[in-house]
Amino acid sequence: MSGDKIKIKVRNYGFYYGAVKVLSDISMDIQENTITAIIGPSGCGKSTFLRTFNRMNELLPNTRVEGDIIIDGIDIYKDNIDVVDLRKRIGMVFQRPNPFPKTIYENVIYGPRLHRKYTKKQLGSIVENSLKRAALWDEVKHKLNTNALDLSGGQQQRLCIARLLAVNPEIILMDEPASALDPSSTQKIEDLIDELKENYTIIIVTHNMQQAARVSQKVAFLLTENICEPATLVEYDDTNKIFTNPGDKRTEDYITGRFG
Amino acid sequence: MRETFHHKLEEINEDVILMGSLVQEAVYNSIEAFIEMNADLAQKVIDGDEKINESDISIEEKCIVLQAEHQPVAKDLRYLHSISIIIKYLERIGDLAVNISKIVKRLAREKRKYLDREIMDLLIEMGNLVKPELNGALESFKNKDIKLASKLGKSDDMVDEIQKMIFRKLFTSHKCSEEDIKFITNIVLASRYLERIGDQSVNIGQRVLYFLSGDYKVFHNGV
Repeated sequence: MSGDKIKIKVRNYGFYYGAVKVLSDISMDIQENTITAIIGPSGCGKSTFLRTFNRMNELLPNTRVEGDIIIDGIDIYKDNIDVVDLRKRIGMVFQRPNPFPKTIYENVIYGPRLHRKYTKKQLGSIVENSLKRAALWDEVKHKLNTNALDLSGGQQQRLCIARLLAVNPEIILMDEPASALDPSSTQKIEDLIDELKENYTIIIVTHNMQQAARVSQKVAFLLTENICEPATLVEYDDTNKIFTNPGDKRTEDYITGRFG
Repeated sequence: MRETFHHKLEEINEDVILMGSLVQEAVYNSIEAFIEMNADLAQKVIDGDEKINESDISIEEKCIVLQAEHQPVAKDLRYLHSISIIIKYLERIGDLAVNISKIVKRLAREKRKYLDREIMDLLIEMGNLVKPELNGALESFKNKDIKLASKLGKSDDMVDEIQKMIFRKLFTSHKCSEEDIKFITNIVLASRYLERIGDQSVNIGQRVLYFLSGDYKVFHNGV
């Protein structure tokens, strides 16, 4: 499924918090149904960049973007874009699982119900499908009415993924989705991410180099070279290339732990 | 932890250089033993091989532990992976020096009135071509010298040619008594072992070239 179709075009993108420019002149093409990992030292703006794609940065005051983010040919920073609709198309998973303090069932149907009315039967099949796609169904099918907070951390994270799959997004943004999980839960999340790429375009921020190497097909390396300067995109290439023979010495130094 | 990693990497580097010098000594001694039909020197090479084999295993173990502990990437990964292969070539070169030394012992035992001068000169010439290849391979590893690594293998054709000349001379100039056949076989083998030492040295150079450049094409195109 991963093909040559460009899903997202980033052109000369920059971002400001107030007067401070944190990201500068980023241009890259993200292919449909691929997993792109964003790596870089702490504080270089990876999460800020990730939140660009669903315009979540706007929730903070005094922020400003420059350049273009074009998804399926449409610039998402144009005035006439419906942000609610945009965020329905672009799901997001966070570092710590954040299920609602409701039942497993209610967590999954929360999103679909916001957008339209469904029959009970339809909701039942949405719940089953979403949980199956999130590889959680077998573990919870007998206890859909228990509180989501009773699940383990890894299960909660997969529930959050099921919750976003329920609204049929096209793009999934993941901000360190496994950093709060133990190795076995991490492995399940990684397996799940790998399966999801068949149908979704995934962008993942991770501090874990091995995770980036394992799950992604493309890697983007962001770096702030000097304090007070914005981060730029140093290198963007195939994951195999980045981890065996990176083209830029700064990438090499970062991934081999020589700084950062 | 990264400092520990780089410290251990440096330690492995030193180990490989040391192993290289052991192998170099074995090759030089085996060639000298051959030229002089010196059975004692040949025995020294045979006895020294154990140390080379031990280095091989101990370096391999260090490489695998380091990979498990630190999951290196990029040049560190290429480097450790290449070392794991380079030490196998070195170990093999050590074995070839032992093989030559065993031939020396056999021939010395028979006290055969030796080779005609011409064949001997050709073997010496072969040794003179092979030694710089090995030296170059070890030097390129030690100094991480991409230029030197890419120059190795230039005398390959010459070595092959000399080997053919030795074969021709052996098979045309001797009456074939059983003794002669034994003798000829030993010389043929010795020249073959020398030629293999040259080849393995070039292989080491290719690995050095790969871990320095990251370009896997070096293995497809030859050097």
